[in-house]
Amino acid sequence: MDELQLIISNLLQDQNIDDFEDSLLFKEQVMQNPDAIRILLQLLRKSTGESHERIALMIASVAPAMLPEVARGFEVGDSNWHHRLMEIIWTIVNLEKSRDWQTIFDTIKSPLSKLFTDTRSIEPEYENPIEIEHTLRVCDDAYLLCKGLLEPEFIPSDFLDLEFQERDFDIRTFRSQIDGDLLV
Amino acid sequence: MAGPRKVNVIVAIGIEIRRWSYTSELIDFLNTNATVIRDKINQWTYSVPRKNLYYIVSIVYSFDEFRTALDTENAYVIYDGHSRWGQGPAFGDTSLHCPSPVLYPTNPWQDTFKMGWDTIRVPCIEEIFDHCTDPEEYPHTRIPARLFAKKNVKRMLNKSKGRSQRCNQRGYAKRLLRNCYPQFAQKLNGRGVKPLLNRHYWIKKRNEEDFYTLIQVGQRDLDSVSLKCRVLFMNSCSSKGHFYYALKRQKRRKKSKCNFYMTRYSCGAATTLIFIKLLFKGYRPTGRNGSRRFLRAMGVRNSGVVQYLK
Repeated sequence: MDELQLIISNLLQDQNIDDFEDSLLFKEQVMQNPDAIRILLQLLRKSTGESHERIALMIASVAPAMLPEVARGFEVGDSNWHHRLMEIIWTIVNLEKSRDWQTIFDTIKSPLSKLFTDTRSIEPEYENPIEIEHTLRVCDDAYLLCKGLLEPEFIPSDFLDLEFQERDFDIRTFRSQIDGDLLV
Repeated sequence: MAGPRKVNVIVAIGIEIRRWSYTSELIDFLNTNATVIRDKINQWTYSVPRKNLYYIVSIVYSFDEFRTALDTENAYVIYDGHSRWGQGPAFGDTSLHCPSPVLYPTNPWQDTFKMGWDTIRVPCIEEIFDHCTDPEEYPHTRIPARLFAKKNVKRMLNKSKGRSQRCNQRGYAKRLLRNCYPQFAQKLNGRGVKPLLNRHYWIKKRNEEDFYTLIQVGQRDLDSVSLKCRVLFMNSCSSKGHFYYALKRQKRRKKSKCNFYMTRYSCGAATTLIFIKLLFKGYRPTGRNGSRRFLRAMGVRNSGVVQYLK
């Protein structure tokens, strides 16, 4: 583990690496290593500023098969941490070459469905003001990720334009559909 | 031996955003790292000899320049601005939400590049009144069978069909604002107009003094271009939901080869600068492989989840 930590630390500090996918060491030691994901998630939680961005970039470079390990990060942390993880998951998903998002959904639906009752608000830290500020909750974020995976044409703002009560109805309906699948 | 491949990179900065710090950061970056073209305003060159690339970077601020950019052969075009709720890119040198009619006879917040759905829903107060616009209402006399609109708009239209116009009607129904909320309908905006006087609303926002109405948008301006650019990065909030479907349609019609970078959610990060920095490092933003590092670098920054779409 100590050796792995050292490898990760060296990779993070190596400014010659723009994209971790270019590093053989990353590919061999980190990209498909659940222990490495656990270390990275811990580092991400404790970090700020540029080093935080760099760690996030490294997590976003892991193989899609590691998504369940990344999703274990939902077991801890506040609502903004959850939002951060969703964003990283989205980035990994967007890079998935086969575009088989249904399979990805199947691997992470269990941890995501646990968030469907989490009504804590998220306050993303935007660098600049945005035009439309939708109030976003953890459950909304989880729902949007799931729907986006299953229905790529789904438009998030359609859902975010709804009142909480209407959103909760959609989430409950969706949850009842996938809960059945989870029980099988 | 063939010279370097010239690529135009055109960044169209929208209204309000041109006054923000990240626009000046972008200009500072270009002034420091690229070569200013003499006698040209907001134009730089940058060479990547290892990739045999020569970029001509321009920053533009107007509607017409954005239109020209979209038809610039093989250009990489970035729109960095507001989506205007789906009304389209808007340009202008003001950060005031209600600019004076003396200085701006045409309100730049309303003068949008039409490239969206046939009709969209917007709030009467937060959007129309506060930006002093007066967009054309969707007539809603008869819903066309092939209405080009988002699902939530179709739902609103279908649910309100044949329903009473009573003010106390629950749920969706088309009602005149002046009959139900005259205090809002009669209000004069900062440009001396009563934009809500003859406006209908379909539903009131819960717990808020605001009302959703339907306005016309369409694709008039998009129809006038052939999308000759190679890449269009719509770096505005929820651009996929607002513009991608109209762009895709136009791409098909014109047999364009343009590729799109679109956001799923609200975006509030300096992703234009990240995009330019990656170009300067010699990375290609096209193709599944080329787009990967762009998506990854932008994806972890509150970028609104950027997607690469064809």
